[in-house]
Amino acid sequence: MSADDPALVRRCLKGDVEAVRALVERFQADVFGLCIRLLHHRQDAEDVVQETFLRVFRSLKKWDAARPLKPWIMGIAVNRCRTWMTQRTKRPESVDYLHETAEGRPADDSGEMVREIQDAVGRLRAEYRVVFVMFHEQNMPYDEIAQAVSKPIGTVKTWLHRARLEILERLQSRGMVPEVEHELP
Amino acid sequence: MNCLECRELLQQRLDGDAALLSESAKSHLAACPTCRSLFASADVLLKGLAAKPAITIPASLTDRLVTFAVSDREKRRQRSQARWTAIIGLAASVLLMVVAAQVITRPGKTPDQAASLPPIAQNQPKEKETPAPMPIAPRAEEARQAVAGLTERLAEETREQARLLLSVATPPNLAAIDPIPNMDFDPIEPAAETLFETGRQVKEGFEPVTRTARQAFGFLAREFAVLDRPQQ
Repeated sequence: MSADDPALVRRCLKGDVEAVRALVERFQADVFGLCIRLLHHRQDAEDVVQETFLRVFRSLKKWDAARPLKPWIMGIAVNRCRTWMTQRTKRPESVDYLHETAEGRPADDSGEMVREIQDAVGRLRAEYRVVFVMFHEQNMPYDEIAQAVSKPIGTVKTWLHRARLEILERLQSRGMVPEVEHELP
Repeated sequence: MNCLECRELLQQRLDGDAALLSESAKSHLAACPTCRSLFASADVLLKGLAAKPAITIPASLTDRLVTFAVSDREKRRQRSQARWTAIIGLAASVLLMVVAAQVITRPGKTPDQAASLPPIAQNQPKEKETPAPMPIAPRAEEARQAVAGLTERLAEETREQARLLLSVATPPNLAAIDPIPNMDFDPIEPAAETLFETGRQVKEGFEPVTRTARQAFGFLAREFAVLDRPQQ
């Protein structure tokens, strides 16, 4: 937890616009990264980021200053993403734009590998996908993920392990893994 | 090392623990193609994740988020202010109504009247005044007279209606009207007869009612008179 998070929150609650800007700048990269990696659509991600920060500022009074701020904000972002994904599955036009690549293309020939990984991640159950993205793409530690998804660390580890195995099996079945005859390091 | 332990080692590797494989792990991987393939897949996954391009945040996102947050805060503040204004107004209205109701319903006493009242004996217990019991017989007699009066009035009204109908049916100046030529009977007579008969029947019909009511209350009055006698 950043040492000045409580002070920043207090300033936000007093209506300090500069504090609001500072809070947005501090967390927008994490929130936007999570949203775009979960939703795979830039415009949707921006909308969800906006909703997330709206809810953050509305419920900032409820934040427990004894807990770190980042997992709390990421938890709100996860909930908004999950709600958005649920709503999107009910919309018929969602099929096309799910293929929109949110990120830029890699320069080398690893593009195919990246797409296969992205596809495999997209096929995971929602909770597996969330913890996988948080751990491997957002570089969040287990305890922060557990706080964000409001689950015990053991549950998070179980979900992550299962997610990894599913992705590895998917990569194997898609022929992305070369036959290994030599010893691994 | 077995496959289960090897899977655990795989998870540690994916967790970022890049420690070198032990001899027992290497020998298991050499003997188990499934675990070897999984380890190879893990390497591919880690390379792929590392190759994922960085995400660029839209340039205007910060400004939009700040503007949206501030405007939302302002809207909510205005809504809250309006709600509190309404609540306070409502509470004041209710309070005003309560005060007005108390002022209106309070028995009117001028200050002079209040001063002229004898001082209240605050510490003396107030004697409870119980009304003296009223004998039953006079009350029953009053009730009998009331019912009889009501019944009589109803019968009188009915008789009055019948009389009115008869007078309409047989007007007093009917004889002054020239009779219709070649008519040897009175055209009003059957109707007048019918109305007269109706009035008579109504009167006779009410007579038993009034008589029975009188008798019933007379009986009751006698019974209550017995009850009212002092006990010996």
